[in-house]
Amino acid sequence: MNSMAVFSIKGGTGKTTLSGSLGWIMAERGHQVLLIDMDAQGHLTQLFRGKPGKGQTKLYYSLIHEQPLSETIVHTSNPNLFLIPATEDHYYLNSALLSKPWREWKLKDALQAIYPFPYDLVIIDLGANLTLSTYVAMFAAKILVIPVLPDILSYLSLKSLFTFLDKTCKNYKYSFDMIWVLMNRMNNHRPLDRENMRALEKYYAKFLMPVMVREDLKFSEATKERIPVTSYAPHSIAARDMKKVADFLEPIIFQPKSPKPS
Amino acid sequence: MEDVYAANAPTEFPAPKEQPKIEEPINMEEKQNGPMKETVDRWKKEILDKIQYLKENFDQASHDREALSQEIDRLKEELSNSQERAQALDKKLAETMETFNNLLDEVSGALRT
Repeated sequence: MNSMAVFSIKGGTGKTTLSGSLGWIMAERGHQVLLIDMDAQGHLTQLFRGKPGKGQTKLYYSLIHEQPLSETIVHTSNPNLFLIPATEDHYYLNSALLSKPWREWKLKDALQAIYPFPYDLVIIDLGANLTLSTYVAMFAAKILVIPVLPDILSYLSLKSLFTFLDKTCKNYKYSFDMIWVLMNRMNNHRPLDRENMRALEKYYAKFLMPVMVREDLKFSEATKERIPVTSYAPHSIAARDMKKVADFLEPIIFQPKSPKPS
Repeated sequence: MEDVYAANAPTEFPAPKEQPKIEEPINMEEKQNGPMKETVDRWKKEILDKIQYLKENFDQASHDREALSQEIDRLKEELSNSQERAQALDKKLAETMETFNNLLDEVSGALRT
């Protein structure tokens, strides 16, 4: 199962936009993609106008009452793209998870229980906070993508996140396959942005994605229209940069796995 | 300013299992210039397209002007010919009227005698 979480501790770094755009591009390229909106704000759900049907199982009930996760999935306007929407129950997810054994692995288990698994890629969009839901989402993901902005606060929060990831992975004996830091809203004309980029290149070289997303108002316009930017303005900087991110991730996500030695 | 970044550089790193190595170190210069070059190339293409479009428009306008000029010359020539014909006709009419008046005078004279 190819799964990717998009997460950063800092808010407003473009997690939802990145999740939605990447999901859309991968779906347009023929991959079956499942988006999971784990952010209680539900912006990804709003972006794709995804709402559970009347009486349909919600993610909360799937994780807490162990109802099949497949029953929570809704369709989007793209036939290859599916969504597990956020609902108001997400606000109670953390407190409900507290009493559950093996709570951190609930989403991973629920995903693995879908058989046969029809999705080529699962993208999990997280809110900017460290809660049980964060653990639940992160432990269901093999790849972690961390969008950062070219400012000092993003840089500082990245250090906190790396410390958290290091400790968490050691404590839970969990290891991601890959962790990528993605520079978002970069403006090369601003010296401070360039300075920030140089710092990332110096101190996060191993994790820094060799592509970046430049600042472009088309993101906001597309979000307002609730259309993925690659459809709203396919020739814009925003769309082209997003495609470059997809170009970078696609081969490493879908690379053929080498057979394990027996 | 560099100190802020150095002072807050990460000290603990998670260890992903399959993190691919980026084969070529990211060249800041290239990264800075890459998007800029792309933008400049796009602008260049847009400007060249615009020039081509204007040139085509200009050529078309020149061609139209030439055609109009020829049409004006033709019409002027036709007007000049028509004026000449009108003058000839006027002259002929005057002669005819004179002949007619003379005839009338002769008829009147004959009637009186």
